[in-house]
Amino acid sequence: MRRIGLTALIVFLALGCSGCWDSVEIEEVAIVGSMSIDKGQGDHVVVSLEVINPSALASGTQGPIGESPVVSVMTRDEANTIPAAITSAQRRTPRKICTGLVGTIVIGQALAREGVGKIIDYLVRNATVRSSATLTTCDTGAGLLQRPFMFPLPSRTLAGLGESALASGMTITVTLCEFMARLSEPGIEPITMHTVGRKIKDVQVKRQGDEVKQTDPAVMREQPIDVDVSLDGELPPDSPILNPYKETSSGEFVPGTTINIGIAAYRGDKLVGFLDDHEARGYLWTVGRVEQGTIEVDDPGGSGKKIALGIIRSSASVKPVIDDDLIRMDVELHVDLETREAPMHTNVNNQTLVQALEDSLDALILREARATLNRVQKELKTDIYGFGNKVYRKDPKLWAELEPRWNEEIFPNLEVNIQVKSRVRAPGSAYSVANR
Amino acid sequence: MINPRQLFFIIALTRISALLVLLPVVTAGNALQDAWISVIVATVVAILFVWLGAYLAMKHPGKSLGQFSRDLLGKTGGAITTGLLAISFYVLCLIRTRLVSLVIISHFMPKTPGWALAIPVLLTAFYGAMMGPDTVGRASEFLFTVMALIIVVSMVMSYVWSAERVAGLKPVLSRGLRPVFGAAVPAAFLGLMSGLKVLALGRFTVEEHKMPKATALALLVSGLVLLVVTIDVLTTLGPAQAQAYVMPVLALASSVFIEGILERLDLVLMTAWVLGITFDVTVLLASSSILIGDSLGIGHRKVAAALFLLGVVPVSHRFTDIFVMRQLHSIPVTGIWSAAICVGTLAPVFIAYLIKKRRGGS
Repeated sequence: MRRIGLTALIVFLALGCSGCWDSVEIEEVAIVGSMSIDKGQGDHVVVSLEVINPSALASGTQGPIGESPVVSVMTRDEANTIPAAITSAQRRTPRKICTGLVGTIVIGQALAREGVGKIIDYLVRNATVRSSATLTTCDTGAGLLQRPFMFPLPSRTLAGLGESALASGMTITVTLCEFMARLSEPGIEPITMHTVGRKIKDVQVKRQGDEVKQTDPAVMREQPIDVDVSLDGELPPDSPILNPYKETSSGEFVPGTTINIGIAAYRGDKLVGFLDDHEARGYLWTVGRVEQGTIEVDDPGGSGKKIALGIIRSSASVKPVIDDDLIRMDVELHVDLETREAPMHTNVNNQTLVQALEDSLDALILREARATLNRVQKELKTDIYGFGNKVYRKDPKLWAELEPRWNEEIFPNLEVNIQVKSRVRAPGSAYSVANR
Repeated sequence: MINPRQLFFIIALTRISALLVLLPVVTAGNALQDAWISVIVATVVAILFVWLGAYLAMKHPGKSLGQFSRDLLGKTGGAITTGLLAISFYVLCLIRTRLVSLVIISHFMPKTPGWALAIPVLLTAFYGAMMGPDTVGRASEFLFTVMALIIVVSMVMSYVWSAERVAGLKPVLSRGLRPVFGAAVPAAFLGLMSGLKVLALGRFTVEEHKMPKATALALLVSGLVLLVVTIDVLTTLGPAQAQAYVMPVLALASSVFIEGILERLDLVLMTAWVLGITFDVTVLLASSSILIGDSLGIGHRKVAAALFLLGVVPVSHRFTDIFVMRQLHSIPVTGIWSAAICVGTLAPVFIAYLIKKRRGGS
């Protein structure tokens, strides 16, 4: 009996090596590194995929002389739904498109203003897309048209720029999973990283006698494009949203560059506005998520110069105070910093000076946090801070009454007391530069 | 023969595997962020009822429920009480086998037919049941180590916790205690069914006086693992979204990666879970065959062969899909099923045992 069982087991296990049905050879896969989803004409979506060529990536620039390996190809397809657009891209791709390694998903502003519900639905339903992918909202529809810089891949360049902004304490990375959690939780609204992309204007400059192309510095001073939401789905054909970086002469799309990174604020699944880099830091102070960066304050010693301090960490404690007819949020911020640069001969071992420095920091951080809070409360009217969630957790019955009016009426007028306690924990590696 | 330590491994391993699949505390009912309290309720309830079963097994060393229920309730009464539990084990065995194939198909291998995954799992279970409890006991020691990987991974996942998230676990009870108790029902049922395997495996367990402790400890340890995983799921995915996932644990694993070390945590969890669930199916088939065999007085290997052949079609057929699986793990179905086991099997046998004991029987 056991022999029969063993034989049957071996036979069926051999059959059960069921990779046969779903097997895909690695050489036959087109790996998608990042995905951009933008608004098309009418209800259409434009899906751009960055398809990576792993063998070219592996060989780098060591290919045969005269041959420049293409490390990635951008596809751009328009359809009613995202899967249909990907199927359309598949028709023109000789390998099987694999979305299992998508690391960055960029959503165009025009589409985000209308609502990202169906995008999120597609991403969550699709078991191959990882929830750890980073979500980004671009002010144009050109999120993926990033000129590679110091990384071979456009998506990696974009992700690197995001990490740099994060290290400056001026944005936050939000994964698909975190976005979903905020979207489904009561009293807290979603956010994503926000990128400002611009078509590169190259200028000819002379360097060591030779003419070379260089990005026009004027590009870096451009402001974000704000979409007119009254367009009701129809954008003018020449809109930069629909035709990001399109060369008017050739009709080709050309790579651009990311010139600023901040935070995009949503209400439900709809984008309601952007926080630029400085406003983003104001938000991050209040939620205790500034983990790196530099802050400058006036020298309390009266030199008229600035002292630069590095942010070590920050944290925030939010306590809802609910009285009979009053809801208030008490926010206490703790920020640890260390001195990075001070006017020569400034001795940060001086307790009076340190105390004055901390007072200046408290005032500055409070000003930044307040400025952003005011804008979010009065202009954007979306509770990205999660104050409503605190009320829900403290008093779910009260929350049930307040929820319908929260973002429009209560949150914009919510009293928020912010107390900042900053602490200069270290002078750097020296107390001061010694006097002769 | 198996020792109490192996019994502990078997029960803990099968409960962890069974509960991780759909994570019913999160997906069933409406406990939302309070689902972690349901885990504690479910574990306590399961321990209470399973302890009764383990106590009965301890008092009847060398006998399974199929044998001692016949002594206590007579041939017909014994057959009914044993049959109810044995059939439950068998049905669960088929459900789990089908579920493995459905989850793998829906998440990883959409073109693979269900039978190609289900039949090898059922065949492995059949082979394990044929080899007998000794082999199952030894396998449990190895497999528990593999499943320990899940525990470690769960702990690693906990690094995604933030103070704010954990503070959010403070009970809200926005809809009262009812959803919390409701969500505990499927988890308590799965714990009950895992623990009651002691009524079949008790016959092969040495040092019978240690059985209740080993069984209760197994439920406690598996409950702790479940608690950690549930908290991870709730704090990472968000309670409402976690409830909407087909398999929240896989969704959790897909949202976490440890850069430079482990990119596809979901694949590690999936592999460990498939190993664990195959073992669970093996123990369910073995327990069912032992109970039926002992009740009818025939060898459990013959019964296992018959059950395997009977199960080939149901586990391969398309009439059960992921929607059916969700309904089978719902509160009404598991509640009625638990009540049937408690009233139809545990209660009559335990009462008969008490009566016999009062009358001076052994």
